[in-house]
Parts: sequence; C-alpha cells; structure tokens
Amino acid sequence: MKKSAGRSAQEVCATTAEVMAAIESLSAEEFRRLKSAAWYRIRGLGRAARHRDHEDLLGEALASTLKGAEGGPEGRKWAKDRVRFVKHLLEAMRSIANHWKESWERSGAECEEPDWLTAKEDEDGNVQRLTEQARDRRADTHRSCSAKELREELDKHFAGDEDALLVIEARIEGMTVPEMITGLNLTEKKINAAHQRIRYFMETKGWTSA
Amino acid sequence: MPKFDKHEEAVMRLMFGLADSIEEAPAAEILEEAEKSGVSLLDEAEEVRSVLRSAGRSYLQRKLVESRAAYETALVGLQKESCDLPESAEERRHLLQGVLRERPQFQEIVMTAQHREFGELTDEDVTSFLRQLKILGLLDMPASPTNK
Repeated sequence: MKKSAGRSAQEVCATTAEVMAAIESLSAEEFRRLKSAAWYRIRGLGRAARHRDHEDLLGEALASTLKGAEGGPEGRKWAKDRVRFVKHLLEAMRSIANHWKESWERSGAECEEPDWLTAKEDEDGNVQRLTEQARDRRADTHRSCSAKELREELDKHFAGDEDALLVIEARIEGMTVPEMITGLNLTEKKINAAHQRIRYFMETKGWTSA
Repeated sequence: MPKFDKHEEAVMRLMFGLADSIEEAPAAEILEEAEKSGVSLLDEAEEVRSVLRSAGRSYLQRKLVESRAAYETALVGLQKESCDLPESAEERRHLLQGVLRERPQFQEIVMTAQHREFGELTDEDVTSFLRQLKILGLLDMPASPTNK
C-alpha cells in the first residue's frame, strides 16, 4: 500500500495488485453503470472522440489508475479506503473525456504551420497538405447532422413530457440535479424518473451505440 | 482550431449530463433499466470485465517491456564500467585488497555480504564489489593494481 503525496498524508492509495483484484470484485450492476457512462461520454464527445469508443475510455481509465498505483506523480490514484472502485473509474472517465475534448479543441494548431513544412506524400506519391485535410474534416458534417437530428428526435419524442423536456434543457444548460430542484421546482424523484425515460429512449433508439 | 457547433455542444452537455445521472442513479434503477431494455447483465458484466482485464494486461506488458529495456541499458552501463577494472583476476583481487587496507570500514561490509573470508571470495565476488564501489564513487583509487 502506498500513501498519496496529495490530499492527505494518511490517504492510502491502492497498489497495482489491488487495482487488478478490484476488477474481479465489481458487481454486474457496477459493470453496467461503467459501460453506460462510458457510452454517454463517447456519444457526447462526437468528433472529439477521434474514433475512440467506450472500450477505449474504460481502458484509459484503468491504465491511468495503474499508472497512479506506481506511486509517482502521474496517473490517477485510487484512494481505496475512501472511494469505491466503481466511483473512482467513473470519475476517471469523466476527467479523461473532458481532457480529450480540450485536446481535440487545441489540435487545430498544427494547421497554422506553412504547408511546405507539413506536406507529406502518400503511398501513391500524392502530396497531402494539412490545410486540405482540415478542410476535409470541416466538410464532414455527419457528426453535426447527427447531433441536430438527435435533438430533433428528443424534442419530438418528449413533446408531451414536460418534465423530460425541462431536464433535457437543464442538462444542456449545464445544470446539476440540486440546481434543477431549486431552479425548476421539480422534485428529485421526478428528475430521476425523467432521466430514466431519456436514457431508455436513447438505448432503445440505438443512439448510445453510435 | 476545431470547435463544436451549437448542436454538438448541446448534445455533448446532454450526454455528459446523462453520464452523470448514471453515476448518481440508485442500483435498483440501473438493474430495472437493464431488465426493461432486455440486456443480459451477466453477458454485459463479462464483456466489460474482459475490456478492463485486457487494458490492465496491456498496461502491465508495456511496463514490463519498458523495465526490461531500462534493465538492459543499465546492464550495458555496468559492463562499460567494468572495462575500467584491471584485466586479470589477480590484479582485481590485489586492487580490492588495497581498497580494504586503505578503508577497513568496507571490509566488514564485504565479508558480511558474502559470509566468508577474503581468501574464499571468487573473482565474480571481487569484480562485483569493485564495480559497485566504482559506481558509488567510492573507488577513488587508480584502476590499475597496486603492488602493496
């Protein structure tokens, strides 16, 4: 067992063996929770996921935890006495997804370099320039259409469900559940039920496997 | 710089919000949803478990390869260090003897580590000690044997 350099000197971080053993101790409900959360994060990332899927996100969360178990400053440390393993992985996925989004947003910087510096030849000898590739990426509006399409589908499906529409709009505005309770005058029970209906719609319509 | 359009931004916030709702939902709700969607929890558990196991294995294998490479680099370094030691076994033994005479405090360490008398040390033991002393910067004597 190792002590984390951060937070508290008393905090005990899991070792590599403890992290690997914790995988075997997860319940079926926790596995489902992990997979669903990974799905939604990847679906939300859209183009910023850069062809990575929910398995990549799960794998990255674990790899980062194993890195943290080595005791150095890198990786994510699992404070095993304070946080459940499933909760740790969920938080790691949230943080990694946010990082992927930021890194995607920064990734356009290479296009600012002159073409002659970055131009490459493909196997057939055709010269490829980053600016052209960037234009191609902008032209690929599939993801954007799909996002627009999803919003329209949600609006249509929940047209008669005021609570669900309110929760959808609140989430788009970045509101948390406590903020919805006070700001929208909805009970926690109603908010949870609306979330469940939205998730069920997403799953049955196959949006989560996109 | 790439940016999300307004629809993508809205969908991202909604999807991240739904991920948060999954994290916060009670276990009973998660199980109820799986049942309603006709998901086999056992199959899904096996699938996710194998994703995590495989990610763990890949990470550990990568670490092993890195450690092996670091070990081999260190080994090459150690072999280079040994080039500075005298060539013959007799000369090396004389050098260690000289060091121990100059620094009797090392004598105890060498003998305790090997549990034997100086005369019983093999050339491998002698070379290993000289190499370690050199790496630690404690072999500040000429690498050539003395004739003491």
